[in-house]
Amino acid sequence: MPKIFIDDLTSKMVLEEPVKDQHGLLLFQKGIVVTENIIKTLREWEVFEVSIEGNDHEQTSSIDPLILKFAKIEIQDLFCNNIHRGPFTSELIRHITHRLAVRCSKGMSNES
Amino acid sequence: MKADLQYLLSDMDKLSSVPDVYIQLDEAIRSSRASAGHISSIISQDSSLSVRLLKIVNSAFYSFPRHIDTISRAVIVVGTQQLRDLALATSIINTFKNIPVQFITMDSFWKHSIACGVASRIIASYFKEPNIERYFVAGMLHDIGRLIIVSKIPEYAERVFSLAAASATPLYKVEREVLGFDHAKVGSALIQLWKLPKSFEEIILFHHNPTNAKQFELETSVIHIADAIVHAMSLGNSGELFVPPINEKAWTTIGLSIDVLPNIINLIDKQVNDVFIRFNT
Repeated sequence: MPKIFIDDLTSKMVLEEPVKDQHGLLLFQKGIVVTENIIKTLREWEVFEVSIEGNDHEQTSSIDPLILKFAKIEIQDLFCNNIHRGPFTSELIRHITHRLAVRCSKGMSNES
Repeated sequence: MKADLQYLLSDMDKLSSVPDVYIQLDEAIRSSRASAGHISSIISQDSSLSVRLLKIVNSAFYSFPRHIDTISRAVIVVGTQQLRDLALATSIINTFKNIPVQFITMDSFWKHSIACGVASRIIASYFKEPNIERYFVAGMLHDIGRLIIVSKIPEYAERVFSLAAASATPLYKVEREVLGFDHAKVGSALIQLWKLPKSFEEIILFHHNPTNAKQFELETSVIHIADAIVHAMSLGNSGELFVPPINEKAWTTIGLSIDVLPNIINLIDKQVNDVFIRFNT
């Protein structure tokens, strides 16, 4: 089920799955309408992704498509020695691409 | 003509040796004299080490609510084995800091190494390891063999770096072709020479092929995954231009849910610069 990053979460979206913290503690039930306070709480509890009803669009939708394209090319190049990608590698690429795109949007480099 | 591993390690004792303070701490911990006071007195003999350790225990690594201002307090709060391992980590960086190297910058090399240590430590913290500092040390030392290669046989190193860049091949594969061995083999041999724990030897030897590890597959898998994440995040550089081939089984061996990956990446971003500055000053 596609998830979206907290950076892309906005008010009035609806949670499609219960949200738990890193230790499995339930924070919000499914079906809850997202508010600014909920987004703030999710950040405080270091939840980075949630499932949203009707989310069939690209998860990094709030990022400039050109920046996203650049990030995808950069990261694909970085992973050129990983042709056969399993679940871990694919997830790593997805998160690193998002991280790079966010950093580029903020005028930062890939490196911390 | 291939390089000679024995030559590479022949005068390592002149270049560097395992720090005395680590040997003393290790002996004390293994004997019945491992009181906090005794451990503190060993560390306090080396004032530079004491300052470095206090910087580290007051870093984002621990995020203690109160400032720790004495070694005796650090021993109590952090633990004896943990402090011994941190002493080893900071002493090795200090030892290698000034060796002349070409083709890689020391700052960038240590940033990659420390980032790998930080990432390994974060991953280990998920499975409630009692001493996560040993993961930090193993992660930090995983590429130490490359420093020896670039400092002792720069002419070979130059060829390795050129070929790897031209063919987009992982450095360790080109090292095996050009030298007859790779940096993992050199690093592991150095650990053996220094008589450091066997676990470090195996982790370093197999960090690119974690499924070959016999006794310490979990630890080796953690360092393998940490190395991949840190390469992907472009944190520092140990000479490798691309993310090395990832062995998916390593993640399975660690046994964590894929859902923790964004949190691991976020924690690395939060900790790495602070830890790097404190280790590197």
